[in-house]
Amino acid sequence: MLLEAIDVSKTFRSRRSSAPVHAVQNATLQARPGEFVAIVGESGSGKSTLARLLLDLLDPTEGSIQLDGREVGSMDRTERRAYRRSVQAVLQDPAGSLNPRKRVVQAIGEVIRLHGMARGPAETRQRVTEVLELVGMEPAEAFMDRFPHELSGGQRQRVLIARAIALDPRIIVADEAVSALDASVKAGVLAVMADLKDRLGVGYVFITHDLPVVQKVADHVYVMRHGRILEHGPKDEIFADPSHPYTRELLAASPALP
Amino acid sequence: MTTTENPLAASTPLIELTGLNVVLPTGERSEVEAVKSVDLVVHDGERVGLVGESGSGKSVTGRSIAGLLPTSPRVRVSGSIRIRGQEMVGAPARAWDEVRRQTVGMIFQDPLTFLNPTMRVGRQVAESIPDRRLVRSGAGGDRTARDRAVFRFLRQAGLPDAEQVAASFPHELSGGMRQRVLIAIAIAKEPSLVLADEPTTALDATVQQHVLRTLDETVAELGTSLMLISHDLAVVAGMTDRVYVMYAGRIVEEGPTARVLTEPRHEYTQALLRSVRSLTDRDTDLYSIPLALRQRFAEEPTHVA
Repeated sequence: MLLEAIDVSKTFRSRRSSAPVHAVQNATLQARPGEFVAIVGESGSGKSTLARLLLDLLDPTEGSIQLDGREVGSMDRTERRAYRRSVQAVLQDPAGSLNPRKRVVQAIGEVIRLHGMARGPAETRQRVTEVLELVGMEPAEAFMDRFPHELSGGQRQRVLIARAIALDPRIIVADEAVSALDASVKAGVLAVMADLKDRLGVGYVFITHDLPVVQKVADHVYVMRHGRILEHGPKDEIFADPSHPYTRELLAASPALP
Repeated sequence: MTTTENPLAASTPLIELTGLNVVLPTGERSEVEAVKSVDLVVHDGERVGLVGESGSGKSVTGRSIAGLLPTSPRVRVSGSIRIRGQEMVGAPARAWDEVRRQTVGMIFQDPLTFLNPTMRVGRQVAESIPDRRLVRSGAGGDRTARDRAVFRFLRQAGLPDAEQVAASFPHELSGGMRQRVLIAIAIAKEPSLVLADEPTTALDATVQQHVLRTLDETVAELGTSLMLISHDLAVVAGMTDRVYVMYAGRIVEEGPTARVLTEPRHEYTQALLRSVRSLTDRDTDLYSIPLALRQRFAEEPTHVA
């Protein structure tokens, strides 16, 4: 399977201001299952817009998003549903992605039911147990009936990952999924993500401004600025020999411990 | 503590917390001991870091130094907060106003909640300049002297286009510029202590670097003390001489920043550093502090390492 953005652009026009915002300009990107692709850039670089385009939450102004050569924009309803199942999202703010009035089992069970991934409540509950255990929330029974406010930030982020993998996705688009977490919790969630890559063969498009994390976990890196992809390549190449001055600037800016 | 070798130790400390406890309400019937028997000292001219994870009590400690705890009657503070030797626990609101006016200038993480969205930046900086500063500069308290002072503080806080910034509203500025405006407001009071709580956490790495450099230079220039509160050990590493590490409301370790970050003595600091380094070091596995260890750290009354 191959997820591609081909020469994709997204322009936002507001009615009042005359200047349109070119959030993403001619971006080309490839992601595969089992591969950890990172998009790095600072705020306003267009990385989140690119994520939304990949997730089929926005329509590109130009260019296309394709899955195995099939353009998402031209898919019919059934195909599009399948697309949304195989390309899942995990976003930064777990509080905003979870309904505060739904227990964990409901939050995850709902998507399983909507996508027909299980028959009946018992099977759904079984699937919820499975995915919670996959993200290291064990015993699952201890977490299933909790509300989001009864979970820590790291646990909430794990629930979101569990909800994403409940649909057997091939690729997860994670937009600043660990940025708000403390180092130790961040390390825990990243370890879970790496583990899922190994065990389920899921791939990631990992969007972040956190370069040290990228250096640690990514296979392939895209660097974005002002809506454009400045350079991309295997992680080791980008970090060892960044060709673009902006990438060098980014690398130098991350504070380091003595 | 290592302050015995400190020549400043003999004089009255600028800030001295002794056995500070803060209890905050978390719900109708629940409360949390956010700060537990914290001892902390900041001397004149010192740069002190306070690090910990979210929920460690570092921000509550910082807020209690500025008298900015929530005003609910259910907030209970016990122990001692001495500012220049004056006991502030139980002090009237007026005394705290005076502390914030003269002694402690604060910089918060989110400048948009701190800045008034309907007021031009220049006026907001002007408001925090005490008259005594203008009089002393020989220009009287008139408007042009104040304007000149506003521009000077904005420039000092790393905003060379001071005139333009002063005429802007907060929403017209970038995040990094807003944070520099907060620095300008904080230093305009000529405080003895600049208390910065996660001042760069919301900023991009390159902007963070610039803002930290600005803060560093301004504090050095004015000779004020700095207390930097952060979850980011790397940020504190470059900015402070001495550091306190907090966990679950308690201070678990104190010492020179370089020593604490390279040879941590407390098990928690060791575990925390291990997890931070595991995110950056190439040949280590990702390390998250195990739950069992966290529970032990939280339960055990620790003595400062």
